Amino acid sequence: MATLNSDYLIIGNSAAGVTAAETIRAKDPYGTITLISREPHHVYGRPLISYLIEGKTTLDAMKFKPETFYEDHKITALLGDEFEALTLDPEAHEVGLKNGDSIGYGRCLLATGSVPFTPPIKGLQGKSNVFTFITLDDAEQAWAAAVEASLKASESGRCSRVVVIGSGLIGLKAAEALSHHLDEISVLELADRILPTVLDPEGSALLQRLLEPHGITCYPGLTADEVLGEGDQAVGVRLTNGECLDCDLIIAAVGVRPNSSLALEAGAQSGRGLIVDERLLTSLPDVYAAGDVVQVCDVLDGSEHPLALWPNAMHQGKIAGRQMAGDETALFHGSFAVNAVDFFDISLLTAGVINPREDMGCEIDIYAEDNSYAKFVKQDGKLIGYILLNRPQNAGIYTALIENGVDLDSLDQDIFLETPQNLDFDNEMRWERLHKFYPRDLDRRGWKEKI
Amino acid sequence: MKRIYALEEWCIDCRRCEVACKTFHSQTRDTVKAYKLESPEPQSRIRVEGNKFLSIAINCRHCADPKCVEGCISGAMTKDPVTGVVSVDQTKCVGCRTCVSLCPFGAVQVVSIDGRDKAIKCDLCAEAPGIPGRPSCVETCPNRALIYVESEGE
Ligand SMILES: Cc1cc2nc3c(=O)[nH]c(=O)nc-3n(C[C@H](O)[C@H](O)[C@H](O)COP(=O)(O)OP(=O)(O)OC[C@H]3O[C@@H](n4cnc5c(N)ncnc54)[C@H](O)[C@@H]3O)c2cc1C
Repeated sequence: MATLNSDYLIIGNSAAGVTAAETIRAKDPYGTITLISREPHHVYGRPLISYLIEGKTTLDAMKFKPETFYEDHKITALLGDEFEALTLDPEAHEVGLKNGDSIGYGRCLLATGSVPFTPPIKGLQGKSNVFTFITLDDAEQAWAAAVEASLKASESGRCSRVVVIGSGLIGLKAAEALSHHLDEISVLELADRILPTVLDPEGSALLQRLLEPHGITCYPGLTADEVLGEGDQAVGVRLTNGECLDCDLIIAAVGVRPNSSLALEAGAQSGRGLIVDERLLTSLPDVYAAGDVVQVCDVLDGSEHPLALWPNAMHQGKIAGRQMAGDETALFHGSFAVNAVDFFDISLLTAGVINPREDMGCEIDIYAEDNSYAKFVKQDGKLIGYILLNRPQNAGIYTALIENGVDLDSLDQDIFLETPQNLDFDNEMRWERLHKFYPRDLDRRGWKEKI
Repeated sequence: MKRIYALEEWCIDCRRCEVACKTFHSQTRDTVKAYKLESPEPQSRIRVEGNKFLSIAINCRHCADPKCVEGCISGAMTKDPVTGVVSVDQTKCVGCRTCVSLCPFGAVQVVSIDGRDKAIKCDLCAEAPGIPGRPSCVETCPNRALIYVESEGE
């Protein structure tokens, strides 16, 4: 017998889980909703952990929802390590928790996100000054270690140093955050350029150059062969080229993978993430999934992979919530990546296909200046991807071109040259775009129609 | 909800809407002080595209299902469930520009306010968050090229 029963059980207290819970409550005022998380915190913006370390937000301001969110929506929130879900029994409709309790559910949502991938590097395991950078607790530990390292280093009159392994978005955001506390930040990257998944070689090279004045040195093409330790402390890293870097702490940020073990052990189908249908239902009865844990179909190139981005988790959370509350019209039709990230005063926005394969027959436009770089990838007269490094203005207009498959011939040809505008669309499309829900009894002059 | 619509048929590129918006969103609500004295410099949330021959004022459409809200990583951008107004809480915004990358109209900008990047956008001249006021761009438009009318959607 389950210790507790709930009409809806949501595993995960982040973008996807919380959005689903809120959506369910809006549709179903009476059903019982239980939301569990192994992190002991009120829902916070996960991407904000680096901003917290930099002093750009506070623990209070980074709460993603108002303090009284759970009460206001009559959600039973069980938050803390003891509430980690360890087992899922799809037949019995029951989830077993670490504290020994079990929760029976009508419908369950897996919104368990990503977990860090631990690189098999000799000497990395078991060091107390090696941190991942995924959770608020990770960030607070790394922050405290950085402050301590900085103090110690200045006492002994040397530089304080961190090695970040991995130059993906998470690694670089950690590097930026720690650069406010430490003198030398070294970022290692196995690939031949930084941010390899969201940039092309030119963009990576420019970003690397722009990061340098901030004390961040990137080493593309190099990674750690071995972590050098003294007891439980990492004190340096031997690189794949044989050189050594000293360090006070290490951030391991080589990537994340879907946190799908609960469902896998219960027999759910999975590819590169949990496989779901348009309703976001997994192969297990009454078990839905949303967010980073799900494998998404990329609408631009048909590839299947997890889309570990906040807006995607929010979007899927909304759809899963509606489905779970019985609204079968809400369907998920695939997506594509839009990345927005800032480092210091550098802005980087990218979307869609950035490094097209030869056989895709794409046309590429590039507009490069000293400190900015824009790349547009077009296929069959449509925009399918862009990089905007330090050229953010009105970028969403480009995103909409990709999303809506707009025929580029119908647009002002200067739309890519500089900031895109609404006037770049032809009259009809511009009216359509800007006048949604326009009163039916007014004409385009704003006059009541003569009958 | 009531929405602002721009009618390019009547727009004469005078940009008084920009002046009115900047004045309303200043500390003193005095145009001269807003333009010449205040620091941080107040910012207009409406922007006229074009020239004397063809122009149109662009501001937030307060979408039914706003992408800026769906994408916001900090919870700063919200749509009021009752009034429909989309607003940004600058104490929460970290200036990441996800909203800029998602707004189909270029109606959200990120500007530096006291050295911190923050998103700004039309709030329908709200005196309290989410409660629409009397949009000053509409009040000031000499030509009825901006109208504030009950729309057909939330
Ligand atoms: C440092 C960093 C910066 C980022 N920056 C950006 C950015 O700028 N833009 C962007 O779009 N994306 C960014 N991301 C990615 C973004 O944070 C994720 O895509 C998003 O958080 C996914 O949300 P989710 O709800 O799927 O899961 P997660 O946010 O991963 O949350 C998973 C939840 O499940 C809980 N959980 C997991 N397993 C269990 C279990 N067995 N039992 C109980 N609870 C469990 C966790 O405690 C947590 O509450 C960033 C990520 C990181 C780490």
